[in-house]
Amino acid sequence: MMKNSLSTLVRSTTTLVIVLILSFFITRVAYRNPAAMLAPRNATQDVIDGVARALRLDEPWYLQLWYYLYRGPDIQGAPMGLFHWPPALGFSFRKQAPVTDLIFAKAPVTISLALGALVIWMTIGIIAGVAASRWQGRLVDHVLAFFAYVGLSVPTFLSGILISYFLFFQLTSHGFAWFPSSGYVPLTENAVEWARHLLLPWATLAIAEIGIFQRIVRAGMLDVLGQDYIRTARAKGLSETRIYLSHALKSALNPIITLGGLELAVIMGGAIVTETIFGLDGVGRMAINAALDGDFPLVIGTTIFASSVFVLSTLTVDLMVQWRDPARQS
Amino acid sequence: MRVFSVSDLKVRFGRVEAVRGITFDVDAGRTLAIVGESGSGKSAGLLAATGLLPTSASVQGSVLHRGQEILGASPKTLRKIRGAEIGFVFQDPLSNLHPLKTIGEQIGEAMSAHRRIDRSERRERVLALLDDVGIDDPVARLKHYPRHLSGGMRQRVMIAMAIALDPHLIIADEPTTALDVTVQASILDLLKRLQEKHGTALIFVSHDLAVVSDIADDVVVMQNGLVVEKAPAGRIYDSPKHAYTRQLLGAARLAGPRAYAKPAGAEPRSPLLHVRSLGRSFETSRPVLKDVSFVVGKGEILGLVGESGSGKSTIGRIIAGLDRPDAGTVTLRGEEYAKPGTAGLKADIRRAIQVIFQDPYASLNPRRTVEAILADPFIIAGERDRAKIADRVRQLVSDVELPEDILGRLPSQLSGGQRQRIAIARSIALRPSLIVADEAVSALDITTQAKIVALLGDLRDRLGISFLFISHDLGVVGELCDRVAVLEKGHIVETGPTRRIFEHPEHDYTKRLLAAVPGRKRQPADRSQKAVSYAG
Repeated sequence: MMKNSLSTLVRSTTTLVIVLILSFFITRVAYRNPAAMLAPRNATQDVIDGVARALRLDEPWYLQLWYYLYRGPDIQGAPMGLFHWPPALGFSFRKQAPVTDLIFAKAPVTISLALGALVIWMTIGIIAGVAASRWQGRLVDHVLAFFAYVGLSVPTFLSGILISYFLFFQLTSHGFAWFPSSGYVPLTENAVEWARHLLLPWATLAIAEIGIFQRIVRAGMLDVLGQDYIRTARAKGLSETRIYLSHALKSALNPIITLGGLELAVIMGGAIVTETIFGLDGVGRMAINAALDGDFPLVIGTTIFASSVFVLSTLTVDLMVQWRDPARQS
Repeated sequence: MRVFSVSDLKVRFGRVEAVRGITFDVDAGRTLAIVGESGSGKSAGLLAATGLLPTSASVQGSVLHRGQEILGASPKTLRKIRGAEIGFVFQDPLSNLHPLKTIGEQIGEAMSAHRRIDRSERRERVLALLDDVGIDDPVARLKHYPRHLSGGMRQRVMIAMAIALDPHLIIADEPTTALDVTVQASILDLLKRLQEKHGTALIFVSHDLAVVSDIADDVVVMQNGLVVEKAPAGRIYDSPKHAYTRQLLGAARLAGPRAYAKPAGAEPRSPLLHVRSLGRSFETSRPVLKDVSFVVGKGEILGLVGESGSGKSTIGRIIAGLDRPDAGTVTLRGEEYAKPGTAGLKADIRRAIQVIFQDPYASLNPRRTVEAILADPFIIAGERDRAKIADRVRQLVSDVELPEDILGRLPSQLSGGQRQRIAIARSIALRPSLIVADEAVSALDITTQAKIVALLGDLRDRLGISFLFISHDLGVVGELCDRVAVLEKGHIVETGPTRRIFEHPEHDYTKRLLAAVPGRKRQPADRSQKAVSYAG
């Protein structure tokens, strides 16, 4: 077990370092002249050159990489690199603030958004999927399939706008101001307001995911229901409810947990459309703005954040699956 | 007292009529054996009678459980009967137990599904049951998962579940088919003992008349969805009326093999394969193989017998180059090809040694036709001429006695026996010198088994191919093999000509194996009846 977790740790760290270096090179390739993008408008060539020199953009790539890793782009003269203690991800050129601080400031919004949506889509997806498998081929199954495909095929920007239009605009204009149109209230400040502000974005994200998940739960359930041990459960005289929920779902859950972890990581990495529609100031929007501005330390920083979330959630999924499966223990 | 009675039961799956009107009944304390090949409708009939078939099947007839009609009864009524009044034991205990639930949970559930029972009382009952079915250290076993148990233990757990609420009837569907012969004997004993203790009625389904011979009071023989013969066990074994019953009796090896293979000399004429002090261990457990040595002669079939876990398959895998030894060497025609540290085989050795596995379905690609499957070896060997390949494929099909129109079919459209013939055809395509047959007939029905065994013997005689025939089934080994090596816990305890091993076993372990072969109680009244049709 010890040996196992150590190798997992080494693997995760290596992945992150590779992502870091790759994203560094991508920013080098993507921005032909970052100094010009960062310099004030109408800046003279001298000023642009000055910016380039200050940010060491005129040096060979390997030195740039070294500066980035060790010191970080240290405009303020204080080293803030990853290999420096305390490790940090450098300094944003545009925002004039440490990248790490920026990400930590926005992360709670994105994490609240993703985790809340996860809880909603998992709950509804699993219930709907089990129901669809229980009444396979019946009306319930067809209705659920219809909603699944609608939810899947409507793009987030459309479903988000529709939800916002009906549940915010129409409700509010008819005197039911249940949901705010935008904004974020930290959980620590007011839990009810936190949930009220996030409910519509959660719904927007969950709709598409429920579509995927109920279909996968249904397929997994049908697969498991054909197994011999389900017949054994019937032969023992267990009720159908018990067979579906305790026996079949227990086995069908592993692929669902795995996929849930992956989807969660994708959303954490940036639910840009949803964040934009509902005016949530999250990591996704910050990443897009940084990319458009040529603020490459922040681009690399948000990329690293996204991949850390990815690594972390795959790790959690692995641990959960391992914990559920007795054969992989001991 | 009549516990269960089925009359004129019919089962259809779509247009296929699986059961075409069967009638039988069983009384308290009696054992009814239902015998027939797979596909004869014996399992489908019983599952239909107890409402365990999927709803897509249509079922007609009448099923009385203690006088109450249960065919077409509400799911709730059926649910109350299943588990409480009828207990079930199915064939493969691994696939029939929930992989993610502990033994304790699964047995406890059988009780709490029907009775209000508090936790500590339930625990006590489960422990008593485990003890009853002969599982040692029940307290520790409670927390174990099915994967931690051996095949025999798992079947004991299944039985514990079946008898948890003292049912009036136990339905056991091929309960020992997947098990070793010694384990099979102990499970049969257990079922008999429990039946005597509780006066339960037992319906025992099997494809092998030898297996049921020790426990059956009455026997129903089924073929193609119909009951062809129904009689007290004594009459079935002593004076079978129907031709099919006689055929099944002929295939059943009551008390040992029907006839031994032709006796070969004490030592093989010219040795083909030399295995010298082979050793193999895996990280966690005791060594799997210790100092294993034997010789396979040219044109000889060597049987390798032993219980599961004895290392039989590991030897086969090493010889076929699928695994490497930790110690010792394997030599083919004087060329040493497997020793510690080697990986992979040279092309000529790989061509000379072929393998046939137990499950022919799993080893044939389901999306390719028989023709494509059989053409592969020639293409891999570098043959480019399509007409020549087609010729040789046709020759192969006739070698394994299959009709030519089989070439266009997919594996799913073949019977188990036909699939195994295709696997054999593929293995002989490049005229190997040695075929490793790992439990090659164990998954087949007993009548099909006899035909495949005859085919293998014929291939040896016609093509001079040697076989290493790995099996836990002593009956088959006795009939087919020239010599036998007995493996116990990774060590060869006895080697010798088949007749000598079977009639005068020297080692205790061999004696125990032979004693566990079912059907010793009954000898066929007339030994001349053993004529079996191998045609077709």
